[in-house]
Amino acid sequence: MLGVGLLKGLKTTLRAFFSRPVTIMYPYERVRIGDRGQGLIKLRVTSFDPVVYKCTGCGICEKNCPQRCIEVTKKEGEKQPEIYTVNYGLCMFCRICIDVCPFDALEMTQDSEHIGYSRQDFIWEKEKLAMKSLYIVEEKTPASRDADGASS
Amino acid sequence: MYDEAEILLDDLPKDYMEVNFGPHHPSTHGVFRFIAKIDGERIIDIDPVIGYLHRGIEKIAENRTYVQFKPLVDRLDYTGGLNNELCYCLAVEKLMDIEAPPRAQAIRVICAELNRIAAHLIFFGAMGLETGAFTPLLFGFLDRETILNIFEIMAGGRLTFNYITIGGVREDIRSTVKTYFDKFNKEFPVKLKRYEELITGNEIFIKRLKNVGILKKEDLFNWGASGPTLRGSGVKFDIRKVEPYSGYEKYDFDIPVGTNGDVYDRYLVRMEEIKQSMRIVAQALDNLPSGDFTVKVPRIIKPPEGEVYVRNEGTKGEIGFYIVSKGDKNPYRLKIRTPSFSHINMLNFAASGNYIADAIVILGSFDTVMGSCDR
Amino acid sequence: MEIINYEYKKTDNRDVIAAIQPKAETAGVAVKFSEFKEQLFCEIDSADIKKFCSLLNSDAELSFEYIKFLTAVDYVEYIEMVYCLYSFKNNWSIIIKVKLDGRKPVVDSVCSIYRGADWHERETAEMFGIDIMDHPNLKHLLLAGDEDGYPLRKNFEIKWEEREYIPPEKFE
Ligand code: SF4
Ligand code: SF4
Repeated sequence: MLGVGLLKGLKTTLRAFFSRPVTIMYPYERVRIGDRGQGLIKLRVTSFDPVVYKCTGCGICEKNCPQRCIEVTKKEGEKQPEIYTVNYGLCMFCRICIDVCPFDALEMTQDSEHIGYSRQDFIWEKEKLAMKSLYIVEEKTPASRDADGASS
Repeated sequence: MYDEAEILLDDLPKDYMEVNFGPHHPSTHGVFRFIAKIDGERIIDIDPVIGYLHRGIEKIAENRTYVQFKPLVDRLDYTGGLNNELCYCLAVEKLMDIEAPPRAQAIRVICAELNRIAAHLIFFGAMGLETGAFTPLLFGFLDRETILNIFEIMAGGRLTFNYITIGGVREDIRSTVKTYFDKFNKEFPVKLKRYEELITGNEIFIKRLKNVGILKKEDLFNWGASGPTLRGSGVKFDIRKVEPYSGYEKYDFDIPVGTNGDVYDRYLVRMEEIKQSMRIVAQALDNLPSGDFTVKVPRIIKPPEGEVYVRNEGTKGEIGFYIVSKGDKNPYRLKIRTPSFSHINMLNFAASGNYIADAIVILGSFDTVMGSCDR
Repeated sequence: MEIINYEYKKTDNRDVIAAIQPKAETAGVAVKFSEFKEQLFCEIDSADIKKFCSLLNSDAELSFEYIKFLTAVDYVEYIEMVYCLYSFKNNWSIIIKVKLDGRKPVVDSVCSIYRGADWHERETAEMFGIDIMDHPNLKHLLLAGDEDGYPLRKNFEIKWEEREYIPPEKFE
């Protein structure tokens, strides 16, 4: 009979109308990225004062990055990078640099926001890359994503 | 003045009008443009214009190593990234004569099938949109979100993963995936039934889709159609069954087929495929083999000389990678066969003679993605 | 419409060769078969491609009615066209290879046999500069047509630009 399908559909719509909203108010509530999530890259350090990077400046990640967005130089005879920049304007968060690093010097963070006023702001120096977290995120996780699978 | 106008009118081709759709038109699924020659409301001829999303991926592949190219594979058909990755990795593995361990194969199957559900849910939403209903889109995306959350736990990414690697997968699957999936498996079929009530049984929806864009199987063979488009016309052909890869022969699932070959059948086939994919994932998660999740591959991947063509059943049809290797770090030539390319090629044939509104529905029923069409 | 069911069928390349060989001989096409990783490659002369394809397509026993793709590979001295066909009935796949002259590549269109080859041929033509004879509509497909050279040829090089960063105040 004509119209039965319409009424059935309306029932579904009404049910959705009275259920809880699924969207969140973004700047006030945030969702956490899972710990395998693709976030910004962090340089590991062994000590902060003076800063000693785990990275030896070997340049393997530079060679393997598909987007050519890493730049590493080191002084002759030193075991530390002199310049280490990542250009987040080009990076596609493929995590290849982390996989190839033989010294385990890179790690992926769960920070996903990076903003800037100019393109220069997306080129991060080694000091900035080593900082723990740049944005202080107040997390209000919605109920649907309470656990992000941190337990393996 | 009057005479001049008459002469001008005489010069014009009579009766036909040319209408331009796109490239930025919501009904064209991305940046796709077509010029339709219409006679009243009927379409005489369609001239598709593609290439707005052409990124030269095949050329980029020649200048990158096999591993460096892998992240770009996700960006072909961005609704079903893991299916593309799976196909690419299988092709390179075939060249190098390696086989992923059973656990990796099961994880790959889980990935690919979950991604198929996600892609079909987009189709479900888009199909509603095409026929003038906005609600299905929201419902489709809502459940897709749950799947993307599972992906985030498992693979790290939501759309672009770089998770399946040559020789296995990047990281082992987590036990939480099963918990999340079980929850999803309990809720989703109920929801899906409601969604189907919303549009599948709706009279307007059926009237719009039934007996529209009927395609015969001989024509579909000739045009190179594959996937649900082919199955909608009564061809029970699925690469997962006919040329099993990644251990698909171990799972018990049915292949839905349509009988009429119209848009409604293609829609039903996809909705049924969602249920079958749920079955496969549940089976795979229950019988997850133990062992390694990857085999040891050399640090620098250098396949020996040769050429292979490997295809698999993507979310839209047959995805294939033809790789010519010369024993280098880079592929010598890499050709990507995508279902969307073949299906849009067919659009003129399928939509001519129909009404304009039906042409949109027919295009929607092929479920094309411009990223995979233009490459 | 009745439903046709295609099941998994074990195939042997020797059967395919045995089926194609006599038919190709009667049609006057010299075919050189080779195998690599369970795939069957047929090498034929470039003048025969249309004849061979229509034989494979129309023959009821072979019934290669489906074209997976066609493309070309640039080996600098010569260009090779690659046609990948599939037979649903027998679950057979073959890859046909045709060698073309590298400087002036010309090949017949198979568009009249496999209509799905239409866009693949257009793409190949613009990417490799191959002259596809008798193609109904050999316009540009993916490219705008303003680039010099053919992008997928080996002598076409990608240039990595050094990007210069413009400070924001210069945008005004
Ligand atoms: S991050 Fe690792 S791979 Fe890159 S330069 Fe430092 S040590 Fe080498
Ligand atoms: S994540 Fe990928 S693109 Fe980004 S810096 Fe690392 S290797 Fe390069």
